[in-house]
Amino acid sequence: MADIRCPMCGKPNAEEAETCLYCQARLKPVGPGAAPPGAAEPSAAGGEGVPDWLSRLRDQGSPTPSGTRELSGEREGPSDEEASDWLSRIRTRSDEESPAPSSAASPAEDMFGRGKPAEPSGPVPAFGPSAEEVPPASAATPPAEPASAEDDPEWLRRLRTRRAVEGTPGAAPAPSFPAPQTTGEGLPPDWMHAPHEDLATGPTAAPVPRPAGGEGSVPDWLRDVQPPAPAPAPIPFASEDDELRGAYAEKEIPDWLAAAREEAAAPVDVVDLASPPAAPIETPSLEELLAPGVLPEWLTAGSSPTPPPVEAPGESLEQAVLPPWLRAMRPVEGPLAPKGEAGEAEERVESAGPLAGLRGVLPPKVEAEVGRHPPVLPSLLDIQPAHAAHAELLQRIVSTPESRAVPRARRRAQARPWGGLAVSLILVAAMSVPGVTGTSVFARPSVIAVETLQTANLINSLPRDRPLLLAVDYDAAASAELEAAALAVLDHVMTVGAPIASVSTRPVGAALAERLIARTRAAHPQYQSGVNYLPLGYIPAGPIGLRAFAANPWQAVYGQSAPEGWDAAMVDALHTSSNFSAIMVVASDPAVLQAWIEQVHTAVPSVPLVAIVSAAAEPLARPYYESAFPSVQGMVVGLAGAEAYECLNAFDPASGRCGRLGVADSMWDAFGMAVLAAVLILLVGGLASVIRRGVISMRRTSHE
Amino acid sequence: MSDVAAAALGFFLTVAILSYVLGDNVLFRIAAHLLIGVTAGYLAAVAWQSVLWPQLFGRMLNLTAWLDPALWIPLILVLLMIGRSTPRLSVLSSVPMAFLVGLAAAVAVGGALTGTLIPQVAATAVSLSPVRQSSGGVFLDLEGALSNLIILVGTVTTLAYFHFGARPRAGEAPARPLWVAPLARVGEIFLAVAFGALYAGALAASLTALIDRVVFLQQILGRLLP
Repeated sequence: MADIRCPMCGKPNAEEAETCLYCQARLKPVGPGAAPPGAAEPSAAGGEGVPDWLSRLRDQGSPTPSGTRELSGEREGPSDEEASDWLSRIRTRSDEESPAPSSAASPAEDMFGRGKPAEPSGPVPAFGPSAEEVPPASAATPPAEPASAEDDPEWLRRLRTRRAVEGTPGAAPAPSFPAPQTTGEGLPPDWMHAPHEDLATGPTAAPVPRPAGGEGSVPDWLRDVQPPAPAPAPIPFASEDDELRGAYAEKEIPDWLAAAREEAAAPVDVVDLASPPAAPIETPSLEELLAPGVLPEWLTAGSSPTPPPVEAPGESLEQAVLPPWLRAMRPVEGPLAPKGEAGEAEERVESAGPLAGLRGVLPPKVEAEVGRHPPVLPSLLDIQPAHAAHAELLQRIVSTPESRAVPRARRRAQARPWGGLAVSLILVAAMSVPGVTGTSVFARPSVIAVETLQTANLINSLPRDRPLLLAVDYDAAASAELEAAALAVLDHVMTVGAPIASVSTRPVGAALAERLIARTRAAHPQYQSGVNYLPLGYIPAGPIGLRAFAANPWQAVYGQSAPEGWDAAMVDALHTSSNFSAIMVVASDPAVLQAWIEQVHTAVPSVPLVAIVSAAAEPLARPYYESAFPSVQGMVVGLAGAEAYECLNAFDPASGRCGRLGVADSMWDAFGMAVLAAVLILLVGGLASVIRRGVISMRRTSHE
Repeated sequence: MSDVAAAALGFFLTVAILSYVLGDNVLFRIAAHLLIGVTAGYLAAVAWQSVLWPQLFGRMLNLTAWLDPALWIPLILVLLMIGRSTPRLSVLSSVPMAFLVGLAAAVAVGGALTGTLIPQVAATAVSLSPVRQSSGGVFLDLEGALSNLIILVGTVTTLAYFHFGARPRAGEAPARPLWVAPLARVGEIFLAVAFGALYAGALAASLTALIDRVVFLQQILGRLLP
């Protein structure tokens, strides 16, 4: 058995349960197609628990015979005079026009709209037509004149007249009398639960026997005015509630219901709901129905803009006044249902939850807002031609990215390297000639520059107790030129035996200084690190470091105790810059030489400064040497100065020639050839440029 | 073995650098990147070994050294300089940067005055008279006089060349004063000669470097080839 889940607490309940076992909420909707909650229960306990208003309604609407009252336990209701006049008229008419009970012509459809077929072996309700008694739906019944036509309402008379003229076949439905309340217990009567959809639903195509009370809950006047609706799907088996309801109804048939059945069986005012009407039924307008005297008072209460006319006391029963909440729950299956939004709001019947059965409680707006799509604004944009052009352009750009891609920046065509390659080949060839042939083309310099001689003289005068400060401030790219000059001078220094302390303002200077010392120490092994050679390392911060070095060389470089093995006397001598015997700056950049002159030599002007500079730095270094107050006391410039210094170191006075060859001498011939080639290239190039310009000028002159 | 490997690596790098004569190529880029990377690593090692450790961190191990402001003041400046690595704290580095720039400017200006400007101005204050007086008597020094004259003319005209003052004239382009224009023209000649001398020195230095590499290649090939 499948369980149904309570809409309130969410707990599972048995499928046949009407109310939740846990929270007592109603499980089965009371709306369309729902079974009355107490249809299967006998009204044994209905007497005491019925409220007064309900008892009053029962009394007014159902002149129950004594037998019925005994079974239901109700107190004796009002007499016929106390009933409403229209009910009395219906009852009277039924008694007169339908003396014999006849089956209802309506096909099988219970009063709850389920359309359940009755089981063949099941009990057949006595007040309802059995399967055998149900005549064919298409059987035409001639209309009969009512016994008391004068007493009928106006609208009923018009309907009868119209159908008499049209000759509409069909069986007369049972009067829409309220069924007797079987459950009691404060629940509204079944006719209140009967949804208007059920009442509006036409007979099913299948000949299903109608269970008890099938048409009894629908007034004939309502059935007449409502259009036929599509039939619901037939349910093959009847429920147990239907069987019980049929058994109960078979035994307890109230007189008024029997009279209504007889009236329904009468061929008068019968509309064949099983078959579609031949012609559309003319539905009376709302104004006609709301006219005084057309509808019962309780139907028009609250719907008519004008208060209903009050009948004189004694002529009819006192008009029942429905409580507001009951008025809100009244059936709206009739034409009184308002149309439009208000009508939709009132027609809405809650089918589940605590509001089950209530109508018009929740506004339809809540449901309308659920899942509402954003409104689609009408396209009222005024598109200008410029906007359209821009949109078209954007679409073209997006659609064809490849064709619209920005072309890559054209790579700048490299100049053909043939010119540079030719010059390089010429220079390399010129340089290689001395080495390949082993010939010496260029003689050693016979004249020694003055600055070189002064440098040699200065080195010769160096003391052996004070260190020579060697500043290696050049890059590896200038090592070929400056190493040759520095090696020649250092060879001289080591020959003299002056201690050396190396330092540099460039990070790579320390390594280059170590390289210089290593290459020179090969010929002078007496030089040991820490004894007569002190590598001080790197001086950071450029000119600021040089200024600090001039103030305290040891503090600026080391700042702590000397490494182990170092000569203490040498270390002590490094605490004052004036203790240096000379400062020899090996620089490829004239700015570095300028910094040494400005920051150190100005601090210790008594210490001579020797500059070993590149040929490229000579024009800027020479003013410091040739000044009236020279800052540089000696210079060795480039490879030429190195070759001259080597010659001085190995000069043989006996032969008058340079003796031992050094690094500079090994490059001297190649250097001479390269310079010669370069000069020739410059001359040829300059001459070619002049000739070209002359030719171009001559062509212009001839053209002009 | 290490000499052979070093010689082979030097040969390869030399050829790779010289291949630039054919244009930018992969070998040149490899050699350049390798040189830059090695230099950067070497700089970091030198900075730690020669500066940071002996000047700062090595001294921090000695607790008594903390009493010396020469230790913690540079430490504070270093910490402020580290803030330059993050944009949020980069403003902190303005303090040590201002300290460095100001100190360097003061040191450079002071050294330039005493080491370059005053001596060079004094060097141009030469006598143009060819008559020289020595212990041996009075003699004519025409060469010296001509040299001094060239120095004077060259100094004045070169300074005139760098005179960029010009008065605007109605309907005409601004021009130098009439007495400055010829001096500037002469000074331009002196500048051309000076730049020529610089170019010659640069060419000589470059040729020397090329010769060193060519000689090195010849030595390597002489070892490999019979």
